[in-house]
Amino acid sequence: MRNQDPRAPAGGLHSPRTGQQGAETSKSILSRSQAQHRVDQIQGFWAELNQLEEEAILVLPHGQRERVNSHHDTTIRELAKQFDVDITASQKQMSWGMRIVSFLGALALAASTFFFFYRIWGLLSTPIQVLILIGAPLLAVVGMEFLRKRERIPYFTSLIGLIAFACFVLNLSVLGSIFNITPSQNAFVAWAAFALILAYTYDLQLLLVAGIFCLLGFLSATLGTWCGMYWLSFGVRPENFIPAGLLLFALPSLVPHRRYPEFPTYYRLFGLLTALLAILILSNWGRGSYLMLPADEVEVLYQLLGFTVSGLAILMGIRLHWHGVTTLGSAFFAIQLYTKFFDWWWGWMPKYVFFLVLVLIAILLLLVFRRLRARIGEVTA
Amino acid sequence: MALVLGTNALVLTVVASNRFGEGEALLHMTERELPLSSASDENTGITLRLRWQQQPELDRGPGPGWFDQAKLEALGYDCSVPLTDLSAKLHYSKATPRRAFVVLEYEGDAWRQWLADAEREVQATAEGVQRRESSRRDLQSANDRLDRLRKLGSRLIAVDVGADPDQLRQAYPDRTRFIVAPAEVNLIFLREWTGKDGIYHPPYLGGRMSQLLVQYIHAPTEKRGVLAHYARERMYLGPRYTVTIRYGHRYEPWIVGVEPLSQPPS
Repeated sequence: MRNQDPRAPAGGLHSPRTGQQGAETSKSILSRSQAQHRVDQIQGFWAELNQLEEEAILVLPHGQRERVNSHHDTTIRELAKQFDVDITASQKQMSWGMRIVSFLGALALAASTFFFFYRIWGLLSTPIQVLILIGAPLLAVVGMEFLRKRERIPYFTSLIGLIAFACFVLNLSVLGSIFNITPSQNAFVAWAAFALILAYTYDLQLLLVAGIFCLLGFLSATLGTWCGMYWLSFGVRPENFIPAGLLLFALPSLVPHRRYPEFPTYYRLFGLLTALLAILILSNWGRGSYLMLPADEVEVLYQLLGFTVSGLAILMGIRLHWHGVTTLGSAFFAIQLYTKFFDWWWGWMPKYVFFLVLVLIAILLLLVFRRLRARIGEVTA
Repeated sequence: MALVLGTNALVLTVVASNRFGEGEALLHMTERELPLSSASDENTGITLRLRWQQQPELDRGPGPGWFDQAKLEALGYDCSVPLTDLSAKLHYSKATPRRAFVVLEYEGDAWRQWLADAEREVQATAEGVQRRESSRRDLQSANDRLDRLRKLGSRLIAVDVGADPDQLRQAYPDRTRFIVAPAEVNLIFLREWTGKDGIYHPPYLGGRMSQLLVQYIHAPTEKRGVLAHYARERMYLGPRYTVTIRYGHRYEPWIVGVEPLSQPPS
């Protein structure tokens, strides 16, 4: 953009416009990210319009320009008021910084809560311990409700939300220690439910991720028990993670998320990451598989599966515009490929030749992808 | 909020159901079986670790002992592949840890047998010294081990395992001497081998307990007075306290009482 506000005219006439249509537009937007996307669209539009005017390709009549300008003014104002969107590049950078600080602050406060409790619990009677453990997450949830009404961007709400989750994890795990309860994977369900309820109630992505991890833990451990093993040993068989990961990957397709447009991305990414990691581990550690086959045969099977799944992920990501999925699929495809090269050549090839061959393969792949990209461009045109 | 309250209510109900009534077992043990787990400034809670023993590692023994193939099959392990089959190694290497119930006997026949085995080992080492097959240092080490075992060793020995705790309790009805507790078990496949003496040992399957599911027992604040006094010193002359421990209907333990010992018992 040439200046802070790209809607400043490069030339042409202006005309006034009422704000009625801007208010209607902002009402159809349900989340902050949708609002931010709309603002970015508007700013992109004005940057392009100014460019076209400078090149004398398109000059809007003064009246039209003014109407559009006024409409966009109203829209941005409404969105800023309702969702506190970032209007300038500096604001965007500040927002990112605030998110990082909020996350680190939440982690530190959660750790502090844990350590503080372990420091004092031995000095408290059992009923008081239990009261504190139950009261802490409840108090944190009340705090979230209080803050939510006072913030447009939930920085502090998110921070307290993470504390609430940490307190609930502490609640159940310390109760288990106090009363010497046999460990059970059902605790993961409770933690997942808590995190997901808060995530959906307050639109908090960090808590969504926490909930997804707990759900993955529960599903994988339960599958392990169905296969006869003790649940705590579910990590001994990475295959336990594959169905759980794929289920979470497919979840957004089965359950629409119209009010939470960013949430499906997290389900897909973490679900796919879990499945691909399990496949990658089994590609190199065949002994850890349920399959009654020699380890080397298992590894070959899972290597083939790894290439297939990451290839499918790339295809799906491109077709369905799931950008994170494409990136993840590509990354794992490359890791699988380079792992194979290492297995085949590292032992006998001179090291400089090995890396040179990798470079040549990378160049070959770039040429292939460039050709494919051009073909896709021709077909689209 | 309903989730937090509901979950905690469920947990406390489960605790109450475990502790309701007389319970499953009541034992009076000492620091030998329930030593303090490591203390730290960052954690003021006090926890005791349940210390127990099981038969030695299978690769040192002539056979699986009481935890044999029949016990493994009763726990749900598939032991149908003949041990001499080419696929046996692959098949049994895929066995995963399982949950089971173990019977622990306190200061009973198993403990006396354990001591007798250790005394026989010392005797065998002494004879080895006379035949110049072992050194005096070996004999001293064996004597030290026996001495430590007599004074400090845990008298809680694993004597049986099964999938049904009620059946185990029926087989071992003395609730003041036998604990039935949940544990994680593993299947071990020992391939055939020939000893230095030329004797051939056929392959066999055996089991091993890897851990009790509740190994660390929290000492309630009301009972920690005696234990807090000893939190930073290890036991080296003998046990310094006795602990009364009860197991409930869910086979989960809790500490009922702690008393200091004036001097280590002989």
